Amino acid sequence: MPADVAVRRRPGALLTARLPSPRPAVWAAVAVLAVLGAASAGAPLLTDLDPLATDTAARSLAPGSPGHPLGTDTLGRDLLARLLHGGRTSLLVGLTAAAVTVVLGVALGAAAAQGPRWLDAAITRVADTMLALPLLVVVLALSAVLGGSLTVVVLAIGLTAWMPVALVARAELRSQRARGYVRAARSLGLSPWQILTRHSLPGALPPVASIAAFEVGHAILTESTLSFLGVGVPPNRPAWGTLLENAQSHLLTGQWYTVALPAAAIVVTIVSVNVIASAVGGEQGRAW
Amino acid sequence: MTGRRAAAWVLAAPLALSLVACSGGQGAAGGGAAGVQDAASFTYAESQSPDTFNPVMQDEHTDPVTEMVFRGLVGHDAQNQVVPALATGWTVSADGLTYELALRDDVTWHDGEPFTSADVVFTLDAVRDPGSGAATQHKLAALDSVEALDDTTVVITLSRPDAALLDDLAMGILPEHVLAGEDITDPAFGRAPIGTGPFELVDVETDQFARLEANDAFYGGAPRLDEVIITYVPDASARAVQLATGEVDAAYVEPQQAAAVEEDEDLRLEVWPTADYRALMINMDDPTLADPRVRRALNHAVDRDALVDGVLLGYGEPATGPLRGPYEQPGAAPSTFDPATVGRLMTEAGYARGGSDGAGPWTKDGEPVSFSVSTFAEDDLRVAMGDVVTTQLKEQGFDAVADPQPRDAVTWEDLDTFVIGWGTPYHPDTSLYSPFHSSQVLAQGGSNLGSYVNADVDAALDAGRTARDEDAEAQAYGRFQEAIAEDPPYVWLAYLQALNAFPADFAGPQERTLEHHGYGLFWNAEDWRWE
Amino acid sequence: MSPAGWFARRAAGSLAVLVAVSLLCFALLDLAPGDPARAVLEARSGGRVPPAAAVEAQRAAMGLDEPLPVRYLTWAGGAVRGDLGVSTITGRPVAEVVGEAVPWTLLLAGAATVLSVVGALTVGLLAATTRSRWLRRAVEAFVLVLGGTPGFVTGLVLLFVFAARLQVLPSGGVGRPGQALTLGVVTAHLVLPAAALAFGHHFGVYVRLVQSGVSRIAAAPHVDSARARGLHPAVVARRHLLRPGLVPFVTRLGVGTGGLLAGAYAVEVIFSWPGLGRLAIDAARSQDFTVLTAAVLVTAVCVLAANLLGELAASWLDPRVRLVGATASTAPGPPDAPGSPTAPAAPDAARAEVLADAR
Repeated sequence: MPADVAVRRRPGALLTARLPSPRPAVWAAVAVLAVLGAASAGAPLLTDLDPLATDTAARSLAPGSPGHPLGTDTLGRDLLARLLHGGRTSLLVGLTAAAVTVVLGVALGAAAAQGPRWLDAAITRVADTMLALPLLVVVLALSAVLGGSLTVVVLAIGLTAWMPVALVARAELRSQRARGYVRAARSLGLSPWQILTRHSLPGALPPVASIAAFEVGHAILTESTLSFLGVGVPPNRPAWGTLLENAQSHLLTGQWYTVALPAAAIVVTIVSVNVIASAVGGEQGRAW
Repeated sequence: MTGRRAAAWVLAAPLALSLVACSGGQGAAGGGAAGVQDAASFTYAESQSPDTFNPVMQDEHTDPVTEMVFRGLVGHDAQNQVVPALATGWTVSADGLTYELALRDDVTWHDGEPFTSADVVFTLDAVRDPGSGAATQHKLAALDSVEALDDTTVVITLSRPDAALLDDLAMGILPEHVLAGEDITDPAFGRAPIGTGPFELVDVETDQFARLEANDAFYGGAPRLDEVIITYVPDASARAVQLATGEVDAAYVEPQQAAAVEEDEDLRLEVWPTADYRALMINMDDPTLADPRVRRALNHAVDRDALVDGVLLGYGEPATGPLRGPYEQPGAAPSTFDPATVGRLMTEAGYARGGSDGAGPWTKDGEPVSFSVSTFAEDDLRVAMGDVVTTQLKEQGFDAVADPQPRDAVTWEDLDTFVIGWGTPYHPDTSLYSPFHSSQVLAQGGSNLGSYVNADVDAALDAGRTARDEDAEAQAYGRFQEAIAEDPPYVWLAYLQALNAFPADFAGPQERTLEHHGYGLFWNAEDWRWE
Repeated sequence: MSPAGWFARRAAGSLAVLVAVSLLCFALLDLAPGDPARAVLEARSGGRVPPAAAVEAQRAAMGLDEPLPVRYLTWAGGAVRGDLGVSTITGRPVAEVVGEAVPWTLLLAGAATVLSVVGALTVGLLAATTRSRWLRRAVEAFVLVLGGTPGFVTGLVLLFVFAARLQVLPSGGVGRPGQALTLGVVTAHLVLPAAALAFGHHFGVYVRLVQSGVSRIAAAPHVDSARARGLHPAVVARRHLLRPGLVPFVTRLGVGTGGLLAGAYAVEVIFSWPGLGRLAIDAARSQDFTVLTAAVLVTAVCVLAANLLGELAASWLDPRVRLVGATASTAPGPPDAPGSPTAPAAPDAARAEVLADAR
């Protein structure tokens, strides 16, 4: 099985191999994310304006104003700086929360698939219970009672989003058990741990990678909703959701761009992530 | 109410189906139609319904419904002076310890029962009962006894003179015949209140609306409006939309929405002053901030005009102290924006600007002046003020960091500074004694959150609360203002203004200095009318 | 498994979930830094900090000085008898407060579900059956953008366009205060929030499930054979394409209710809809824990019921979908057979995939 060998040596190869003929949409999405990611990461290099510094002499400037390419908000804070620094927070939360989700999910999924029966039953039962909950409510309650901080938001998202990852990982790992190369490895006397890390897990990677990519989009969406409802990241820390929350009352005042810019950033990011996630998962995978 | 709920249940099923058919063309059905505007019905939108309509459970945050349903022994006029209400007049003994009040004999409760002195005795005694749980209890702390001499005469005896007592007696009086034997905080009464005010509450739906009808038997004459509806619209944009479409007649508006209201020919923007100030409270436990020179320097480092323009869009006034109105001594506490004075005071206190270019933060013994500017994260206005003040202080060499926290996470002991709000349009004692008197410090469970201690301030506040004539009062509060100018407990920021949109053809609302958050708007609702 | 046995198992499972949820609520709220007693006193005094002694007295009055297990058992004992206690802030019975909000949320969620089902069927079938490459691309792009748009953004856009600019629909509430709630009035008020909820980010998933479900089956041998047998195209479409093709969609719909109800939170705030979401958010902010717990529990009940309905509907649509036991682990499922697209080989995986974005 050459493919499996390749997987074992270079897990990344399988991801790229699974990509259908490189559609322009996918590359566009990758490019968009790369630009957004680079711009956010390099925010301090791209603008020397402090996203928190107010300037009461330069309030509510329209986009295209000198020194403020995207304009300023009502307190005179530069919108470009806020958008870039906001991207740092939002993408950081999105990626970290997705990482927590995936690590937690794969670990629990693997434990359920390889572990004793009672552990399997316990994990799937908990997953089912949590799936039955309106999780935004739980996240809301969590961050409302624990207080808004990046860590709380990340943990709240991770703790309430691991179940699909775990179920997919578990199902994939179980189906791997019957595969020829896994059986062969077992008869060769490899330990369960070796089988898991060398054979089963790499084989289960593509669907897990796809779902992981979706989790990034989900995390950004959840973060922005939480911030919009006022229970997300601390309000003076720029994040796309908090920018929207701050600007929302300007929707009708002609300063529509204070709402449109962060909203567009959120939508474009999630759409790009989802395009890539669909491509990674292949056409048979989940929808968007 | 149950009718509406039942309607929702019944509607739920078929509606889901019919909606599919209707969603295309249903359009204007309940929409902008301004035609529903009965000549004598008036709808006002505000953000949130109060937890209860019980006046003894609202401490200076009297919501519109409670304000219209209840009346107190006294009221306030447009200048916030005490005027007769349920009491027609009163005499005070020479020692200031005995108040005899004569009551009206022509007042009936909304359910038709007559109002008598027994209701007054019942209310005051019940509120003052240690276990009552009433929010207004502290207002009656000086009361020793309340007696009814006859149906229309009440005598209140105090254990110490209380200059704020008459202002405090504006609290709504409760009906004994409804609440006798009950808890006065009874939630059922809080939802179906019975008062003596110009309007009675006839219908209330939580989070939706409260509907009041005119009380034609009101002792001040029948109200001009037949009906007042208060709707609760949490989203500020939605409130503005409803105002523009005529779904509501009037509404509380945000500063950034004021321009749209002024452009609308059908609306009139009312901008009224309030006694509600914002200031930066300072924790005296911080050794750096405990130095009065540093605190005076901070007061000169804030550009209040820029703050009012930037955060309140001009709908506010610079604050230089906690008092306004008759007790304010202009110039007692000058706090003008003045970088030179900041420099002088900080140098006097032994600080020097750090950094190679002399533009770094103020530093003494290698330690920069560094503190956080906290506030309630849920309060957008305070957060914005904190952000602007932080930037201004940074420019003047103070290493300030904005750090808003969720309300529940705030621990007062651990704060450096905090954007706080106080102020009352009535007797100053109410909003000065608890934040600034040393007997009220946080460690002893009081509301002096910055643990501010100043003997001159204590003496002035004690003199103010027991003053028996206006001269003595003015003198006491003058001394207070001089003392805090030397040793400022807060960095004064701004007084807010209350913005309300009324229909252009609506008359009656009369300007006065409002309470916290702009409450007190409906004080003369009985005179409101369509033209 | 017999339907009755299946139902009994699921009911028992649901009950266990509810107990777990209530325990979780209590534990979380106990860990929270805020103090409900202090919150009550602050609410009454307009935010003034209450004296420590008053807070102690209030804690005792609210029974908060009892240990956690005692409080939970007291609460659970009441809840079993239908007594959910009183709101710590307003003092009103929780059952009454929540009871007022539930029908409005159900109405909103129901209308949103109907809207999104009709919309997804229309768009999805269009995309699955059209020969126009251009149209398919357009649907794809549309669905993609909706898929990335948070519900509150959709809500704000709808509010801006239809209520503020065009002024064809009311901007919030359920009717004009003090006037009779006629079908027309409620419907008009319902359109915008329901649309915001229906065409939020789940809509894309629905369209895609309809489209992929139907187009995958269209290529299956049994459909070809049906056509070859000379069955009327409409019959083929209804019996062989639509019914089985919709199974993943229907399953997903039941599971999606949780997300729908949760999404209703932001929408309810924007459109001042007096439902559970606004109630829960207000309760969380004011630390009204009794109301918050009840709101979360009631939402969980709704979600569990919707999940059951979804499974029942799926099994009715395609009898090959067996009603499985309480958990994913009990689903037998053949090891690795490629299987037909409607009855996926690895039920766990298929279910997980369907569930994955169900929040």
